Amino acid sequence: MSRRKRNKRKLICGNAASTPRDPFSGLLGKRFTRIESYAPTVIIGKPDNSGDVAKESLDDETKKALHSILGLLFVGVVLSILSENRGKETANPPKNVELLLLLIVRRDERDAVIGDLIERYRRSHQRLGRRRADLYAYGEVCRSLYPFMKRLFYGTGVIVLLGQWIKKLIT
Amino acid sequence: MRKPKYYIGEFEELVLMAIVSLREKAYGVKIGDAIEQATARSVSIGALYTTLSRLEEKGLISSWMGEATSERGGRAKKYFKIEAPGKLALNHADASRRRLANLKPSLNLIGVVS
Repeated sequence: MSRRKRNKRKLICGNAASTPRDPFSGLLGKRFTRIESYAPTVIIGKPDNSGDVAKESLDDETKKALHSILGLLFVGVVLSILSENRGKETANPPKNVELLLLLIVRRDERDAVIGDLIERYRRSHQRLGRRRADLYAYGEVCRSLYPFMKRLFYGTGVIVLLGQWIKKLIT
Repeated sequence: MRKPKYYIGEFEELVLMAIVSLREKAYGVKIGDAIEQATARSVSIGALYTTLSRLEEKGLISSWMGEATSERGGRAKKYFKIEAPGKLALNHADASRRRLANLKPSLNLIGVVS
């Protein structure tokens, strides 16, 4: 039998002559043999009156701890991905952009125009990110100001001209 | 020659053609996307909606409010449909362009557009 095999057999079977004595073997009242593995052992708790000591291998503890840490990490990653996607789906353009549109858009068009802006904003948010999507929303409103204002003032201009004409007729 | 009731501009024509191509699914975002894809020019919401309202006032298109969806923040869509005068105006614009193109048969349009 080779030396390596002999050593392994000693560790597994616990040869009385060769196995090192555990410092707590006196408390346990028997020789401690490392049967399960090469892993070091820890003693949890203090020996009570009866001399009974709870012993658990570090492997089990570390495994449990690792499992719990990995589980928490996995849950965290999944939640962050979900929240990120949820943020993209529910992202809204800046409030002042919506307010500005509310001021210049006709009442019957408000829902459609702001809905379109939100739809476009969310699409650009998914592609470009929040900052660029905000810039896109501001740019879109700035570009839309002129046509909406032109329509608004054209309407009021016609009313003013009509008023002046009526005034002339009266006087 | 029969005088048409309405003259339409270039952008109005593009909007009408987009509405025709989208059929029942024509609303603001889709119309804008269709024009952007076809002409490679960006269309602002303001320009699009003022044109749409102008066409509606002329009686070339009609609109109705659709369902509110969560992807639009609970806002309803406004769908558009082309009406018979709109089709006539579109045909007239197309015919005018063809007639103008026939006036200059020697003009190589392919060479002009690079």
